[in-house]
Amino acid sequence: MEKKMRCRDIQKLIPLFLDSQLSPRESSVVGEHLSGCVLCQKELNVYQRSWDMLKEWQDMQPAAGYAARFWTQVTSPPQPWYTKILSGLKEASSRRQISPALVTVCLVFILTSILAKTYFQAEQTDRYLTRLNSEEIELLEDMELAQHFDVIKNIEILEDFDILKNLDSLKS
Amino acid sequence: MTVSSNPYLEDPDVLLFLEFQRGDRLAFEKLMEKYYKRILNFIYRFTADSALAEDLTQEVFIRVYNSVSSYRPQSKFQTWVYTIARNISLNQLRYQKKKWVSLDEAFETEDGEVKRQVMDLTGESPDQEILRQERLEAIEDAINSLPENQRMALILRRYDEFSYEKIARIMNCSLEAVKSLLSRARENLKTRLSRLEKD
Repeated sequence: MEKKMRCRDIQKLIPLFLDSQLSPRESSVVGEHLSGCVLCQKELNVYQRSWDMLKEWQDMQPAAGYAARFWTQVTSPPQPWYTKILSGLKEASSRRQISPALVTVCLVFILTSILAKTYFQAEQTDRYLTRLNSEEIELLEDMELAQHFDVIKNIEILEDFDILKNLDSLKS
Repeated sequence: MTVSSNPYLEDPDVLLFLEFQRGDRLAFEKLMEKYYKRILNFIYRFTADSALAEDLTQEVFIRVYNSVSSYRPQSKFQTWVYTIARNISLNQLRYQKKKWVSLDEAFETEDGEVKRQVMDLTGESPDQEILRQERLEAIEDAINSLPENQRMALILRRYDEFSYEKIARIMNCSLEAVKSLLSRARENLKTRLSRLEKD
C-alpha cells in the first residue's frame, strides 16, 4: 500500500521532472525512485511518447501575399460607415456570427415598417375626410354609433336622443 | 530612458520596433518576417481553424502597427506580441464558441444519419496516408479537448518552446499556475494519446 501511494506521488511529479521544473531535492528523489521502479519508468515513457507525438502536428504556412494584404489594410484610407457595416455583416455571416447583426437589422426594419404604415394610413384618412361633405360626415358618425348600438341603447341619459330611434334602421 | 534604466532596450526586437517608431518601415517588415509565421501557428493551434488564424494574425500585426505612436517598451517584444495574440485569440473563442465534433460521433442531417467517414484505427489495415492523417487528427483533437488555459500553456511550451517564466508573463499568471496547468495538460494528453498508441 505504501509503495502504491509513493508511486502515485512520484507519477504526479513526472511532467515537471521531464521539464526540469523540480527543485534539486525533489528531482533527486524522483530520479532515485525511477531507477528502481519499473511501473513508474513505464509511466514516464508514456508521458514522453505522448509529448513527442505532439510534434507530428506540423506548422502551417502563411497564405501567399500575407504581407501585401497587411500593408494594404494599414495604409488604405478609412472606409465610410456604410462600407464598414456591410463588411461587418459579410464577415459575421462568413463566421456564422450573423444573429446579433441580423436581429438588429430586422428590428429596425420592422419598426420602420410599422411607423411608415401608421403614418400613411393617417394621411390617407385625412385626405378622404377632407373630400366628404357635411351629410357624408354625419352618416359616418351615425355608422360609428350603430356599431356600438348595444352599449349605447342601455345608457339611460341617451334614451331621448332622436338618432337612437333611427339606429335600428342604420344597423340593418 | 537609458539602457540601464530599461532592460528591455537590450532586446534587439524592441530596438527594431523603436526604429519603426522613428519611421523605418523596413524595421517593421523584419519583425513581421520573424514573427508572422510563429504567431500564425500559435493561433492556428489554439483555434484549430486555419482561415481564422490568418485573419487573427493580420489583426495582431495591425494592433502592433497601430500602437507605434504610444509604444513604450515594458517587456520583450516577443512577450508583447504573444500577449496580444493570446488576447485576440481568447476574445475570438469566447465570442464564437466552437463546436468540436469528434470523429467518433455520427450526426443527423436532413438526409438522415451520416456515419463516420473516417475509418476506425482499430479496423482493418488502411493505407499509410489515411493512418497518418487519422493520427494527426487524433493529436489535434487531444489538444483541442484541453481547457483553454491548459491548451494555451501547452502550445507555448511545446511548439514555441518558451520557458515557464515567459509563459507566465504571456498568460499573466504565476509560475506555480503555469506548472499546474502544464502538469494537468500533460496528464490529460497522456491519457488520450496513450489510447491511440495502444490502437
